[in-house]
Amino acid sequence: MEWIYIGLTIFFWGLAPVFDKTALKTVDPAIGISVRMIWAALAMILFVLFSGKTETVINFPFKNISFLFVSASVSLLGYLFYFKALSKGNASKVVPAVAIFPLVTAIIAFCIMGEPFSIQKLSAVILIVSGIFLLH
Amino acid sequence: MEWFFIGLTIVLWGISPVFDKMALNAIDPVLAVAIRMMAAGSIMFIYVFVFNKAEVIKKLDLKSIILFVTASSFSLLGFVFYFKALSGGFASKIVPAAATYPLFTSIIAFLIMKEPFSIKKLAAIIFIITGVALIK
Repeated sequence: MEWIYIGLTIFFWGLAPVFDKTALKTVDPAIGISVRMIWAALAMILFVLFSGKTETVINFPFKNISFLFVSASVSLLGYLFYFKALSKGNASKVVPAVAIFPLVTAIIAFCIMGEPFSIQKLSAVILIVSGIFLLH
Repeated sequence: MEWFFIGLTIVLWGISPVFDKMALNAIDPVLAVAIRMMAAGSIMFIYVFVFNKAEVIKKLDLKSIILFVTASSFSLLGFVFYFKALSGGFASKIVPAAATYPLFTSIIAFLIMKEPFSIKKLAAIIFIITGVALIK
């Protein structure tokens, strides 16, 4: 059953940038992000209300919510540059190229958070860098 | 120029999960996604009003709005199936499998948007996806 869910995830995540790219031919990236994010926020507000989780959300620790706000802000800035790249370049190049962001997370996790590094991760870095070099 | 924007996106999206990780120590991941989306929506809502962009959004053509709303909904649906897969299987299998979605975007971009295709591009995408799968 989980492979059906994985397939649906790939389908929906894979198709979303095609719609973004088409709309960005005529719309400013910041306006595009506004429409996209406000819509997502409304959908999430409805989800929280209808799933009966309002109390849980209201009682979330302030520290955790602050971290999520910081994460959302940093991610939004990323979206702004992603949309700028997507409006200028081909989706088949920009989407795979930005997909390497877990590499930056892994480097930060290794350097700052002291998470373990392995030969597997080193192989991953070599493959990603080679891929980006080929895509350039 | 698009590589400059791609680089900034990678750095910002790479940093963002570090804050998610700090926030996720005692809260439900699905609700964390909901709060993160609501935070992003609120920030963009404030941006629209502070920078007087409401008029620009009102003047957007229906096609662009439908494209962004569809992209946003597809991303959210992707999240729903991703979490459903994660709840039923091993993260070590599901996370790398879901990370292959840029390949699907590229295939759609080649087939529907008629973006140029080359063996070099295909090799690059496979290298990047394999690398990202290994790092996750």
